[in-house]
Amino acid sequence: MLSDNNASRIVKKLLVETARLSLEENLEEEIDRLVINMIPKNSAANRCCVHKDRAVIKYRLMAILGRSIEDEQDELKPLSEYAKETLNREKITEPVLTVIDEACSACPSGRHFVTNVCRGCVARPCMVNCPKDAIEIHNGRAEIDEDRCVNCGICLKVCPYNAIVEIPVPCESACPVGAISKDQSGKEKIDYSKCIFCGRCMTSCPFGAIMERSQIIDVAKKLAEGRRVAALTAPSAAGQFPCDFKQLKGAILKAGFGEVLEVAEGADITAKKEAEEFEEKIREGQKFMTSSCCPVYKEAAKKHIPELWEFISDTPTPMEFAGRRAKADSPDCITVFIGPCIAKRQEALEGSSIDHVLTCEELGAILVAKDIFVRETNHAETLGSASIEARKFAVSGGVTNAVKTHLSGSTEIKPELIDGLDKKNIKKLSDMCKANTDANFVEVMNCKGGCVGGPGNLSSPARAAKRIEKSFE
Amino acid sequence: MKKILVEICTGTTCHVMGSEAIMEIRDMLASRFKDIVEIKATSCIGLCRERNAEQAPFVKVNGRVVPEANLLRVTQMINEIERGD
Ligand code: SF4
Ligand code: SF4
Ligand code: FES
Repeated sequence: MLSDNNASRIVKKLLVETARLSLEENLEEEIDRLVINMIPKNSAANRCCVHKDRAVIKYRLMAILGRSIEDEQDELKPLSEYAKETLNREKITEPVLTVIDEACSACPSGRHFVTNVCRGCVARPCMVNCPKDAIEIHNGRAEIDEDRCVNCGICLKVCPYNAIVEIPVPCESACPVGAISKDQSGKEKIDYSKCIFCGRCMTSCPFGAIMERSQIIDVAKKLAEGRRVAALTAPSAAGQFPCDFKQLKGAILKAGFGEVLEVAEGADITAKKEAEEFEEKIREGQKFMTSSCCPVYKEAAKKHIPELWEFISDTPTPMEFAGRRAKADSPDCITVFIGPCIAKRQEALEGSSIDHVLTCEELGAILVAKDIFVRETNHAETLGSASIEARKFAVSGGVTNAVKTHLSGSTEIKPELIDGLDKKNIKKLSDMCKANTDANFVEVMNCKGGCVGGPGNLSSPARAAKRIEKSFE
Repeated sequence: MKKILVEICTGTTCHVMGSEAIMEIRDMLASRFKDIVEIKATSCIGLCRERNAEQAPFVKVNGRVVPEANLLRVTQMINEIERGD
């Protein structure tokens, strides 16, 4: 998603600054000062005061250092100590998201509210239809008694003037599985036994209260040390910068990565195996098979649609194949997946071939920190050998097209596309397991438009798709 | 009326800091601007190197620089120029 707001700009500034400090190997010494530099004494406060703004910046930096804010034990512990721990850590831990309670504004929960459009009409449909007698008329205008209201929304539907509105809690209404809700203090909390790591809460919160636990420092440190780091670029990453892929590849090499491998090469293997698996399973009488490369979707099946699990392809994901290949070529290299996805962090934790995951935004921060300009960078010599179909995995429908090219023709494919995993589509998938369905191959993508619509992207899906098209034509 | 030229920097720094979202500005402008505003994407205009990169993205409206640009700031600058401020 493309967000043009101050909260996301502040995060990006902090990513650039911390990347710069760690590439200069100055992180521990300078990070506490960064808070003051960001919010100097006389700056106009975003929140109530400079001190609150600084506190929020401190917690944002903790998330960028890869920490969970929820784990804070000692409020006096300086960022420099957290930085030291991050610089020494070898292992990444769960969960992949964290909520900054200091930034969460405890938005009033899903209330219905009468606006001054109300004309206090004689018919009073709101009052008559409210099942809880929660509406009374005062001074010629309807008023809702919050203690009685159960938020059923009937008043909103029956008012002929559209005078009643529902005020949503943005993160809660964005969450397709009800995994985020308030604790006793009114602040939001994620229930990780339900969370599918789609990142919608993060992109929808206008206060930027939900953040990823970044691995940018881990990667920057290894680059600064001159370790052998391989960048594995997701198909969608190819469209995220204002240049063609060969130039982006050149820029990543210039940033200090030892090599750039396209995850699309892994996607070729996934598509081939998935095609074989599809023909075999349908021949054996399975009703349908679904794609398996979107980790959010798999998490949703595991936690919320268990009846779907048996229909998901067993084939490993493009990321997994690409990681295995990189480790086989050079066993001591550090593999870094670069893509748009939050859930890939979780997938990497559960597998063994990917050491770190960066979003395209974080890669961008590293390029800015190193003063690398993609359009002024030399092209990498080779493009790589992935097929054009695999390179289009990132756009909705891409997986189906790639699988199609590998079919032997023994089984007719009747594809269906689930483009975006919302409440409605989760229900639809569950129904497909129970009832009859015409489709026998279902491609499921959590993000609308496919991975080009992923939360860690820098470009709009349409522009990204166009760049991918142009880079590989 | 004379044309108002909006140059949106799409160099790497400005792109990373969010200039692409500003490319949609045409849809946000009041209708009286539709014919007089010209929107152009440029490569790095050098400001990220001169000043600090953290003020990106940069947009120029008739040559006037808008640092930390977003849709709102650029629209305000267009309004200012129209009023002759
Ligand atoms: S990441 Fe997605 S599933 Fe998890 S809490 Fe946020 S919106 Fe809900
Ligand atoms: S569609 Fe792609 S980017 Fe979005 S959650 Fe799935 S794998 Fe990640
Ligand atoms: S990238 Fe915009 S001024 Fe340099």
